[in-house]
Amino acid sequence: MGKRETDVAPSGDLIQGTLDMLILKALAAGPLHGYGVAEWIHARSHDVLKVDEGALYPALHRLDLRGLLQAEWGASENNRRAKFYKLTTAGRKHLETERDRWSRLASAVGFVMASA
Amino acid sequence: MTWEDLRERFLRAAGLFTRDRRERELDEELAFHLAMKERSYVDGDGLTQKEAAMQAKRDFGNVSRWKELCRDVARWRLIEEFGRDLSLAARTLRKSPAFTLVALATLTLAIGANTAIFSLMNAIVLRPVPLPAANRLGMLRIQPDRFGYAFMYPLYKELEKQSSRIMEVFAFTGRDLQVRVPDGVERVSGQLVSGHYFSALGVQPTLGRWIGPNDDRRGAPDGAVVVVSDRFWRTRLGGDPHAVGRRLTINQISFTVAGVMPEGFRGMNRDQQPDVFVPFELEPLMDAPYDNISVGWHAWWFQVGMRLNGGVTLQQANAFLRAASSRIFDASLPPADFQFDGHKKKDLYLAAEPGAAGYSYLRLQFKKPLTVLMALVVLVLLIACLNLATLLMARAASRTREITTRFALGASRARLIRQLLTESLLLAACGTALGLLAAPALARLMVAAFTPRHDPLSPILDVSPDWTVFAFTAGVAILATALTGIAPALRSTGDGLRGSLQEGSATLRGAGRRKLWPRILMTAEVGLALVLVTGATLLAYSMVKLRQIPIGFEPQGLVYLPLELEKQSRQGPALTAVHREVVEEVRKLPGVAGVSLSMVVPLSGNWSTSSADTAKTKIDELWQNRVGPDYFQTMRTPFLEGRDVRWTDSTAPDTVAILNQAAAKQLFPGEDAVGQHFSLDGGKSQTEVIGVVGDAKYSNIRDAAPPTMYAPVMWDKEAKASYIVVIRASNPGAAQVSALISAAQAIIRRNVPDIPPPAAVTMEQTLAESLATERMMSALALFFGALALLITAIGLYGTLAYATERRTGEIGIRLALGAQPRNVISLVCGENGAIALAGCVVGIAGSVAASKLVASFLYGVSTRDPAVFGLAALVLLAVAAVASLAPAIRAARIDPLTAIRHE
Repeated sequence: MGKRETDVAPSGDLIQGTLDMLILKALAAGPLHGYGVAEWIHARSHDVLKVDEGALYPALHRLDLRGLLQAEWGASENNRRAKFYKLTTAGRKHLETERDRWSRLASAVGFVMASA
Repeated sequence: MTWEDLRERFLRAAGLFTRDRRERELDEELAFHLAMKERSYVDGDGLTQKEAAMQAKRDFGNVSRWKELCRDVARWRLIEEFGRDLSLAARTLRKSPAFTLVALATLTLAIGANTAIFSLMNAIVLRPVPLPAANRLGMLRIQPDRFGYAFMYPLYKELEKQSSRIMEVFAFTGRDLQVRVPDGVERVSGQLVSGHYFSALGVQPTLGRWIGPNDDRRGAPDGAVVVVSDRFWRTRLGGDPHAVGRRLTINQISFTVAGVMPEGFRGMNRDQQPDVFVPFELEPLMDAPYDNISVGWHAWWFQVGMRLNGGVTLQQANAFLRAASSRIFDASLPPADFQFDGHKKKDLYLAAEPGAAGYSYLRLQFKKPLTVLMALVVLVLLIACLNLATLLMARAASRTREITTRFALGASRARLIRQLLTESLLLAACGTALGLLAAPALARLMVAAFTPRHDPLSPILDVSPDWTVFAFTAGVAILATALTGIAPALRSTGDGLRGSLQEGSATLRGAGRRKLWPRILMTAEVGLALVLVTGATLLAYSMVKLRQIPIGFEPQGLVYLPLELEKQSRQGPALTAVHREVVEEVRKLPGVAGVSLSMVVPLSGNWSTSSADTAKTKIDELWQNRVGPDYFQTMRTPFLEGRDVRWTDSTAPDTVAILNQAAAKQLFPGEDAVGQHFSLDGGKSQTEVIGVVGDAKYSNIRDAAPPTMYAPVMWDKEAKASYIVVIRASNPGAAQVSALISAAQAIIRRNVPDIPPPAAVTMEQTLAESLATERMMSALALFFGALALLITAIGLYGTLAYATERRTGEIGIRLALGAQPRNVISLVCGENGAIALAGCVVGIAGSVAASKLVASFLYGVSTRDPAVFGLAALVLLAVAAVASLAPAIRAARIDPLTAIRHE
């Protein structure tokens, strides 16, 4: 143990809206199961962000109920039954607005931190 | 809302009632995740299978918390969906404003009426008195139940002596007291209370102490003490923190203030709000010149309550009372042959009943009328709900396409039922909210009818709503939702996908299973409405009969001003002179058609009787009145023969008297009564009959005019007899009467400044009060009956209009094939005709059963009166006919071509 502990960001530090946005982004390329979503975020953040399972699944279910995702049972890569999540049209739109909002926020924070 | 949204919602909704499946899926998702994690540990980090499994579990942390988080999401969905259902329901209702308006109006009236009557029930029957541990309090009464709650002094003293191991008994009774204030004398509401009253009720005074056993006797160590209310302390004692020890003159006796009770303390009698509490044993001083205590068992004049001693149950107390009763009655009720209303002394026993709701005269009087009214308003509510159910069903029929579409999109039946019920819930909730707003006004209106006299000492009825009322109304709202919503929701979703496929042919087949339910509901509604209308007609007819009773005098323009002279200094002939002076001065006022004196106000419920006999005949109860000269002319009671009383008549008692016809006939059958003699109460002196007058009602308008004797006011045996000034206004208009009252009051104030100003009462008020219950019941019953008719008419019209609209195509074909408009009218009306007739049959059967409930309120009307039943049924059928004709005529005007194209 301890091998993967580099730069762990506990889920509590992730603003909920941000986690939602990351999930939507993960699914933008195609359907994934929950584990896949976590792995994707982990890999794409260069191992910086580790998504806590305790937050991931409630978030997935919530997005599902809000109609931003759609869940379907299918076969996983190792041929097990797994629940796959797919972005809906509404989800795609939501992702767009979140992306804009995020970049505005990130640059704004950047300006503040860069100032003398 | 886009179609995608709709689809999403219904797909998600499909899983609503499949909780087990959701749990299973949650488990499976978790297991999959763990398996994937294990594999990554084995493949990527080279852990053994076992280590990997443990590590994966550890990463995951608390599984049950995780599941709970996921479940929360689902729960939140329920709320969210409910919110969307609500907004959809609101939009749907807004789209049909006529339906919504009718639904809301009927529900508001029905729920408002239910809440109003219930809050009266709550105030009079249910609500506990605000006293600590009120459930340990009890009220005592004598069984068999012929005495109300009245007690006599020796019985109470004996009970107090024998029962102290079981309970703490206390006596109380209300009194109007005259308190001296700087600018004269004022009447306040007082209460005579025994030495254990306060300790049994258990409320501490805010200042000083309460009345204890040591204060409750003549010549008590601290002298005569009183306890006053917070209100009295603030208004009359200026909120003085040193009020204890101050002196008060009450009924001309000097008292010391011993204590002040906290705000809101009203004691055991929930109808009264006493300002002054006086020791019970001082009754002779307060009631002077009367003395109920020394009269002993002859006077039944107060109530007795108790608090159970610790550990004693009400059953044990009753067992004790049952066993001790014969001892107590033997010691306190001397005559061995005592008998009251057919019950001998050995039959009598004491019983305790729960006293948490306190003692209430209003409850004794109005529990039954209120129960009847409650039944009436529940009927109205049922009718309103049935009506909405049928209307919703008819409307749902025209929404078949919408519902089938939703089924096709995958919505489950449960989900659709939930959606439809939300609509009824929204209606019921809005109706309840509006009803709650309307209820207080309605309740206050009824309180005014129950406690009509505008007098500070009249009973107090607090109908402000509390949690019991809110709980009741919430229950009513839920019931209304269920009654209006469930049947239509089940019906309209029952066909599932087949609904729309069958729609076209169903309209052609006309009657069928689809129409059975609405018909049953409409028939029930018509039946219930008829029950209400019959009840209302019975009560109204009885009221008409009561109004028509000849009373023997003319009530319009009669005004009564009672002089309360017991507490001032003059007496005997001097007092007679005061009376005479007042009468003579009033006579000179403009607008006075007659003035005299009387001992009682007829029909006010007060009475006095004596027995009378001659050598041959006897009257056990000869009703008594004392009158001044010109009494019969003032009352406009016919004077048949002989002469009137005169101021110059002898002042010696039992010398001359006037009889009414009933008394003259009974005492002197077949003879001329004038000049004859009789004796009173078995006495020796012979009273001469100087005149005979027409019969007039005495105490109660429902009873026949009793044999009555009128004696001159001059020969009263009481030293300080007080009489009532009777004035007839020549113009009975309200303005003239009230001007006359003020002028007469000024005369009285000038002649007798040392008594409280007399409160005037008109005969029309007295008459209205004596029939207040009947009048209010018949007025409310008529109102509810009319409401039921209106609701039923709307229901019949609405369902028929919907049904006819759905049959437009069929009717068009019929007309095209040569049917005459009148055939169409009879075709359409036939539906409602059958329903109305079936409803009448059901309703008449129901009315026969229900009329027993109102039987005791009827005067001169039989509960089976065929005229009443026929009239009620006719009215209902007429209303049904009018409600059905409009849609029928519209159907007959259908243009066949348009109609067929419409299909």
